Amino acid sequence: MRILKFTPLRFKVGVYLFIFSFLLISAAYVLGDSPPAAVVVGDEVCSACHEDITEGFKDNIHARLSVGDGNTCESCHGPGSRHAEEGDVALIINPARDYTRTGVNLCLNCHRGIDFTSWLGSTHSEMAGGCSDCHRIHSQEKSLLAKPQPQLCFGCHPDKMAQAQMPSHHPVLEGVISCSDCHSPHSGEVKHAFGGDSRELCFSCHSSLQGPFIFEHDPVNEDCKICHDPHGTVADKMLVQNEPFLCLSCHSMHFHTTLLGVEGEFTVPLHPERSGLSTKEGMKEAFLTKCTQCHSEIHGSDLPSQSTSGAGKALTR
Amino acid sequence: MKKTDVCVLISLLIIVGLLISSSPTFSQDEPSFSSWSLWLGGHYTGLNDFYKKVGEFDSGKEGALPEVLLNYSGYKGEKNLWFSGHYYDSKRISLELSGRSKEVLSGKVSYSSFYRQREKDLLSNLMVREATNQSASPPGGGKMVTHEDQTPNADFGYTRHQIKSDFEVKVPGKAKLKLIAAHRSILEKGEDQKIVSMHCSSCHLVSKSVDVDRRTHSASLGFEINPSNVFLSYMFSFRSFKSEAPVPVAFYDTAQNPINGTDLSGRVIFSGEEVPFGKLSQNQKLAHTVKVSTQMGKSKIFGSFTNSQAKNISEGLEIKSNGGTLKYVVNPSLKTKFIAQASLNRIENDTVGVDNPPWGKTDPALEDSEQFDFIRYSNLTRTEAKGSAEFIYQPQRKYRLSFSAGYQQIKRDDYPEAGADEKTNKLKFSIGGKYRPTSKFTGLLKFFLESIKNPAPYNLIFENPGKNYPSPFYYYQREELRYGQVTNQPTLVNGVELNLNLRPSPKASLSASLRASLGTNSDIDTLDLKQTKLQPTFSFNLTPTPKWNFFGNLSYIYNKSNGLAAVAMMDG
Repeated sequence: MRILKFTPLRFKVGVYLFIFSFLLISAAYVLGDSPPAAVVVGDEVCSACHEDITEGFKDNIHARLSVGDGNTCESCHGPGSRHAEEGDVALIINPARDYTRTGVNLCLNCHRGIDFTSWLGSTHSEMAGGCSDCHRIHSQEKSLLAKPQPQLCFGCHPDKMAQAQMPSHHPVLEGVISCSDCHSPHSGEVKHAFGGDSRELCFSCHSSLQGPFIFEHDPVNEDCKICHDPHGTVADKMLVQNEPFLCLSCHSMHFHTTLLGVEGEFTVPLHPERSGLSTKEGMKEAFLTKCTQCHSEIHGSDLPSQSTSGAGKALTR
Repeated sequence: MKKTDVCVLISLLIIVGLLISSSPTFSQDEPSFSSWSLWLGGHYTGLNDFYKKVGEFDSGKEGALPEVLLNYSGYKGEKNLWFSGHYYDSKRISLELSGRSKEVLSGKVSYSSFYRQREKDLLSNLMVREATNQSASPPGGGKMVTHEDQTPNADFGYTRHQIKSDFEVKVPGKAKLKLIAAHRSILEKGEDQKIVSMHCSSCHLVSKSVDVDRRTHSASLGFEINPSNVFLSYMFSFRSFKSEAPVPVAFYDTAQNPINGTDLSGRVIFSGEEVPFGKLSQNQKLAHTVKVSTQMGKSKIFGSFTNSQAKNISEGLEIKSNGGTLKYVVNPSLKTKFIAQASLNRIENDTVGVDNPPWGKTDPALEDSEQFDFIRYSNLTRTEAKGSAEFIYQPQRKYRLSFSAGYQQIKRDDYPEAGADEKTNKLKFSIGGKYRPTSKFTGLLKFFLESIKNPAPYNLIFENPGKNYPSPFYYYQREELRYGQVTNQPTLVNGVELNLNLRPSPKASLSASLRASLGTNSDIDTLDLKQTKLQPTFSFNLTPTPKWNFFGNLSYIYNKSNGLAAVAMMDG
């Protein structure tokens, strides 16, 4: 049996034959059997069936920016003649539907600012169903949001809605600040964060805490969220736990806590004007209620505290 | 609001107006549209004697108060104008004016204010005398705690005013150059409570009312350019903070033994004098940020670099940082996606030499026995490195699976502790799935695990106590315990997130979710830490007409943290 050897010449001939055959078959398929390509038909044709959308859409920002002269709808939805003739929804581009099918996001053809450069791969990009999950493209609302903030965000983040109702919270429900004041939904980056470290977002409003301070509290340098939950907490000042338990999760108690108090009235010998009613458990009440009564500068200070034994580091001043 | 701030606001409003009106006039047959709405109403608040309990952000005014809402939206040709205003009460007002002209100019100016009610600490838990030998003459020992409120009728709180503006100018041309400018000013003005604590001759806390007048100004200026396939942006940002309120001062008691009056000034850094407290230092921050992105075939690359300096102007201290991120997204096929990210950040905080008087300088027996000078090193000085990779597989558009892994290392330096492990290493893994058969239903499920080695480095989360052992003073016999390996941070966290969302029509939606996690720390020597979080949520949303919205949510949050508190064992 003869074995066909693939000499260079035969190989080239084979490649040419393959390409020629492919082109021939493709041409036959395209010329012989393909449906006619859809053509642009203009807004009036669209309005005939979709008046509920087109009537309000003429005042929409997209309509007024449309490059299509009288072909506003088709600048996003593509040529619509076949869809208009046959009524088949599969014969028209639907950016929202097609994104979930193909992953192609038509909106990014125009919305190409630096904010959107990190959209790809962001959590919203990957987990949401595209722009139409949050935006109503045909509406007249500003930013075309499907709902105003924060209700829009709460739809997918119900845990944050629950936290916003807690006794200590940022004034989001009061309408004074919005989710997008801190979060950038398109890029996944936090706003106002012009570099440095993860605490920068907090410092953009709470700038007095930026430091650097001479006397520091090290968890403050690590991450604000060690002690605070910015979305809301039961404990005061958005602390993740009430005092003194939060403090005691890193520090030991003052030894004074274990002392017993006298029962009855007392006067400070050197300060007769200072007097009060002491109880047996008074030392515990004094030293195990709220650490920041004394350690008031808990975020850091430039002034030394009074006691030499603490080397000025007690953050009481 | 100060006059200058009012001037800034008015100036910005004029600028927006000029920008919009400076565009070429269009012919009369240009399409135009305008709509406005005015809502006049009011709200009634009945508080009785509980006005302090109303809430942090309510000024607590009782009675019927008028409320006004005004919205305007209009365009003529390619000029657009929006305005919205809301008067809730004299301390909560918001105004926003924005405009856009020919897709070239756009600007937005806003003003908002709200009142933040501050709680008042009555200090009533601070009244006790230690039980010691009271029959002796004079009575033996006896630590005493007392308090004093110098402003019993003060109503603490401050109003926060914010003026914000953003402007963009698109320069016509192929380079697609966009100039960006932004500004924000925050003014907080009112009264707040400050507590002075002194602990010689009695532990005495004094509550004072201090003025609040905090001012933060920030500004950004930069550009975006998109010459071809490359996006490039640069932004310079600046922020300053200054308190215009006088620094409060307080007289600290002369340091004496509370019973027999012997001199204890050798135990304190200052006493018997008036000194400032609660000082807010003036600070600044400036940053340069460059961002670049480009698309190459099926892949997209995004990078950014930031250089910043934060300064404490009052004390001459500085934090410098340089950091960069890199992100790479590629679609090897229609069904797969790969996302890789990496970042490196270096932060350097100045070290400070702190001079303290030696212990017992006035007591010959103890004189110079302990020195308390120290160098303040900062745990903020660090190098942070992060890297993560995520692989997404989507066999059909309705199914999606993702696997991700990440690594983070924080290396803190400037700590001279021998044998200390100054590094924190984190490893993160997650696996998630998404099911979205139609736009009417979405189901998400994600499992995650995070392993953290050394979340709070031994002797590093606290500063070095700066003294030698053993010490003759009992105060320091517990130093090792106080500065021990204690943290509320877990070493292992694992959890699950489930989210189901049903949207049978654009007018109705139902959602249910569950988040649960368990954090443990088995490495530390003094705590057996366990943090449990469980949160099921159910909510619905019904919008029969654009004007009516019915919304309900039921969420249960369970957080539990187990840990043994380290109880002191000394002289009580």
